[in-house]
Amino acid sequence: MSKLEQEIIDIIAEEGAIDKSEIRVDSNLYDLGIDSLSSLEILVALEEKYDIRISQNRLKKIDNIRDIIRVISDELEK
Amino acid sequence: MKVGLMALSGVRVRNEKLVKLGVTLPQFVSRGKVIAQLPSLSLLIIASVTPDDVEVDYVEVPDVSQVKELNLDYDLVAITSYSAQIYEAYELAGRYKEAGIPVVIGGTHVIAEPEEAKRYADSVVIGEAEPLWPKLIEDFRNGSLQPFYKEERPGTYDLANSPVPRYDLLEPKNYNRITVQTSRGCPYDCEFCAGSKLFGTGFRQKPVDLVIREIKSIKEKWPKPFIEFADDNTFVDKKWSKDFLRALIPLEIKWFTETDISVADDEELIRLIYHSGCYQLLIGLESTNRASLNGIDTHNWKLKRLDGYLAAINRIQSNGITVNGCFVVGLDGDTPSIFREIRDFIQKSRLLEAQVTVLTPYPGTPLYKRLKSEGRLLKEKYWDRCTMFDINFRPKKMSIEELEKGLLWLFKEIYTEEKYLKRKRYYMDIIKKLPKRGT
Repeated sequence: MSKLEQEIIDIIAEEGAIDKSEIRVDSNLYDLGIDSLSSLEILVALEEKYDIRISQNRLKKIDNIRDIIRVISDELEK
Repeated sequence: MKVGLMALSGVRVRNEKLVKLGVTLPQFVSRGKVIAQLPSLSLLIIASVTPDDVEVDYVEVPDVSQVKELNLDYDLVAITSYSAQIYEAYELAGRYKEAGIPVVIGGTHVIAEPEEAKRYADSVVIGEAEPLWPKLIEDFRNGSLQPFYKEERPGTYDLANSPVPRYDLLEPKNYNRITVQTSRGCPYDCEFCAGSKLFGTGFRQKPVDLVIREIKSIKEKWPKPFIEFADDNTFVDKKWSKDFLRALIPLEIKWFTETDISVADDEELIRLIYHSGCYQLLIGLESTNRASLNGIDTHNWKLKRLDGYLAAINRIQSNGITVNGCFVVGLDGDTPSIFREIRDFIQKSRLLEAQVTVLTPYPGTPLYKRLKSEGRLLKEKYWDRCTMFDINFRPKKMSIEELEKGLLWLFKEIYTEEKYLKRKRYYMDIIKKLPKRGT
């Protein structure tokens, strides 16, 4: 797992109040107890951490941890 | 002695077109999933007032037809259900009775329809568990179970005496949100409300320290819980509310509750709501139309508030608290233009979430009595249609077909991913500008 992936998972665990050991890259957000409200706050925390702004279009279809990692990575590569 | 405490769980929708449409609308599915996964607080309260030497089992039954074999390891079975699932509850009761296990039934539906419920159960509880359940258990042990247990003076049980619900009975991984009740009742008397007047007409609130004790007991199992306050209207008493929210801040929880639009009048209250971890307030706006709001509650409180709705929502959301605005369609003042009006209001107000439901004549409500007397109920006991998404009455200023088509159109308009994401992005930009919660 890359440093970035690990960092993102740490933030998700912290903001989502989830035990880090339960999080896998293919974990579905809802199965981890992250509903739409919690996911919104997690994304804000990630935006603040990396000083990015995810476009409205990129917020689509964020269903699992891998989707979040992909969106953040793409934004950082811009 | 062992008691099986059973709740009919989950959300029901009978309208096939809506079911088909609903599964394609992410926001609609999301709230439905949250509701379906909430534990049954009433059973946890019953368990807490059960004598220590009686063993209890907490059982959620999402679908009675899937229960192939009954667990017969009980001396007594207690079932609770809302109207939409009541026929399933009666079926389950019948199966247990047939197996020779006595059945007690309670919950919001049977409070309104106790005689009906008695046909399916040995005993019916009409009122709150705390004052009634211990007596029922005592009678059962003595072989003198009564057909009905009714509160003599509904609404007078002092919530300061409420025990902490048995959260220890829940399996932590099964629940994303845990329910806590801070109050019962609501000072407003909306004609359609099926919840706030069932246990008496007053508004009662638990002492702050009792609610905090309940949350601390939850934190023993869920260190960082998401609490859903199971109240009809949490912030009626502003002094209590501020004391409560100040006590909540150090607990570092996330929470959601239902209240009314008057919270927007008080800047200090809004700030405390945000800092104590509130993610969302669910507020019954009911309608955007004057004629529709007229007469909803005796003092037309909501109608008087209508002109201030947009500013109030903006004040709450710009302070970092999302609003889930609730609207009811099919009200007597509604014409077919109501669907477009509500859609436009949701867009203009930028409500993060909206919940649109069909006017539903629940048993025991003034609305039910009025529609019955006006001959407007499609069936007198259409309980399985009390889902809030199915129509079981004749609307006044539109046809049933217009109401159904309008509802489906409105769902497509407001619950599509694109429109939700626009509101989500708007709200994300707001909270980025705010200080962290708890600071």
